[in-house]
Amino acid sequence: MKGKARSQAWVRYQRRFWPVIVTYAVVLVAVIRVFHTHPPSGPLKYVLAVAPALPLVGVILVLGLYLLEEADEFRRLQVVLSMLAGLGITLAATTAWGFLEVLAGARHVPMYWVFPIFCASMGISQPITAWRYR
Amino acid sequence: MKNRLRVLRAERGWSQADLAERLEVSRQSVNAIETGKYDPSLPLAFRIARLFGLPIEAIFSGE
Repeated sequence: MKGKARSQAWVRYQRRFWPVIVTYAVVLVAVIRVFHTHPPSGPLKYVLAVAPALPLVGVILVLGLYLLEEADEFRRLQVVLSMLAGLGITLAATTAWGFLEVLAGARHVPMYWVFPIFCASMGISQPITAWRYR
Repeated sequence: MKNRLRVLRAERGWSQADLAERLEVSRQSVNAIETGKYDPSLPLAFRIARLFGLPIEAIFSGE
């Protein structure tokens, strides 16, 4: 497997990532449906409201496990650089938007968009990082 | 950091993929090291030196 396009750690990452992201989609749809049809109250409301976030925490853990398990230091560096780029873009965009909201009356964006913005930013930066080391 | 990896590899008739397999890294890693875009860690540099049977300073130079 070593020397090939995908490492064992990457294969394990894929095997972990997809079940977690499918769980997220299922939980999200289910929770939205429950809140529309039978709005919960009391502590259950908070438990159900936070439920879709838990699989996303799982995604972060899966990514962390990949970094721990990846034996190829160059691959690891590329992923870390992409994560840093994604983090930087997310921090810059969300901070700027926050000031736009407060000072310029821009439309409010719910904070659950932070994670998709990070994933998209990291995804965009991956080919750029790879291109740098061609 | 400069290195003689490409020359040493060519002397043995190995492709980048061959060397990558022997070092247990990706072909992209070998390419990045050969082109000087990535400097390997000390453990990987020792693995490379052991593989070619040379001291590290015979492969890598700080110039």
